[in-house]
Amino acid sequence: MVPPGSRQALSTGPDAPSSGFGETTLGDVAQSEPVVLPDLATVFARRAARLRSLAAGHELEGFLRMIAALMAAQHEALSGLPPGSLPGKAEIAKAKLVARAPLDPSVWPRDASWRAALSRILATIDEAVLPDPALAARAVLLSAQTEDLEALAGRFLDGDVRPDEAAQAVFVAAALQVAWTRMAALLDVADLDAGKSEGGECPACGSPPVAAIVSPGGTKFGHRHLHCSLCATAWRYVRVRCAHCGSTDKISFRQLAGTSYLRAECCEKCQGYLKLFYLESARDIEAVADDLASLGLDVLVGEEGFARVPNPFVLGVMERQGG
Amino acid sequence: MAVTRRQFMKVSAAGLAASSVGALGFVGAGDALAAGVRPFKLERATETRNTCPYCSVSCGVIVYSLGDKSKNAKSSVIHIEGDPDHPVNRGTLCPRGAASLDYVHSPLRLKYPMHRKPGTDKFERVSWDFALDRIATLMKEDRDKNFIAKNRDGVTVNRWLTTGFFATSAQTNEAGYLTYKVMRGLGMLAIETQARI
Repeated sequence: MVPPGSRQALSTGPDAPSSGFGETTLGDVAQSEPVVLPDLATVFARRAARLRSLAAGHELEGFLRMIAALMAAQHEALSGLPPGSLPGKAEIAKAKLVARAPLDPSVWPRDASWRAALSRILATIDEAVLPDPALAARAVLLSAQTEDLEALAGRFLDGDVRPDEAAQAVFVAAALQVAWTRMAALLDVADLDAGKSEGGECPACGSPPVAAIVSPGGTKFGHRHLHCSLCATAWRYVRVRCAHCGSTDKISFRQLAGTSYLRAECCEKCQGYLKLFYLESARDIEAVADDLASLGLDVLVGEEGFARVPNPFVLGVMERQGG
Repeated sequence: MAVTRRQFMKVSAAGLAASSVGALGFVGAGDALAAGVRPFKLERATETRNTCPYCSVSCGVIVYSLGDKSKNAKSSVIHIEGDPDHPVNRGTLCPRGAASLDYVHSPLRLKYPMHRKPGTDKFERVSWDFALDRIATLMKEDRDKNFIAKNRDGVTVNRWLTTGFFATSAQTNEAGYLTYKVMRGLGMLAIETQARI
């Protein structure tokens, strides 16, 4: 005689244990996606929401609220973006030949869609959070000629913006992010070479990473993905390895005493660092937003002599490596 | 001086004021940020890849240690975890490997050759020369006594089954080859080394 209820238990078996992050902790071989392309429906909206939630009571509250509004405008701009161009098989093969990512700004010429994104961002951003200098920068961009805008975008992508253009560059960076994120989302993962280059450049657009996120729980426990500063693509990168020079020797981390969700991974060889966020300790993390909200750690790590690749929204005439 | 998205920049309070943060009109935000973070202590640890030494499976581990080696400070291991990128264990460790931090700090950890003489209840420290000579003598005695040249059917087997050899897991190909050549040459069959699997 089988007791009531136990027949079902016998036929279905116990539930597979789960990590609480939707990953099973048993059975499967640990394997993470080598490249995760951005999800256009949520990427900027999630960023904006996360940054807004981090802004309350923050020392940089005004700045963070403004960038959150900018991200919300990016979300708007993305949904109304006119059709653009994308590299085809031939262009991707050509980029591979010269060891470049298919959307690398130096091999893939941008089309006009980023300017459509810019005008939409400038039109829809919440003016209430913009201080006067930001409003002035917006006015300059609204009245700028096409050639001047293209020149400024070119200088931003090449990494050669003039200090007096820093405020305008933030809006331009936001518009370029929208255009590049859409292109990246439409690529085929099979066309991208993740982890081939020595440093940690984005396999989709060749830009440096803004931060890294370490996966929680389950079979993907501890896997690290770098997040692109331009096109929002994420790609797997070996842990304990400098994302700038590829060195695996003399890697150390710095963290604020008492915190566990964020560390700066410092490389003694190139004196660079990258911030690592641990999803296990804070599950809403978004790389760009959390990077901006944790600039305090950057100040302390900078005092120890380490330098980073800047967040595109904190482009600045900062103290350069070596003085 | 140009503003760049690719090159290294040090972040500082003054730097933030001169960056797009200041340019957008958030003057003084950098100083407020620096003042806010000032009370926090910055903790430092070194991350090193290594191989778990406890069996021939050779799992990858990440070792976290405190102390700056360059400043003559005493460094100490604070944490050991499985290496998620290692192809053998993919981030996992067995209970023995997961407990390896306690092996490192154990007061009973063997740091040099020790010898307990027959009839005593204490180990005492001895030199490597003494230890190696002693081990070689005992191995030879044991081998002379228990070596099996031929089995029941008269087939030559040249076995030495009464002694085993425990080598390391973090071994190179060459060391694995030598371990096998020497120990198999003596007729030994119980050999634990990375080259075993």
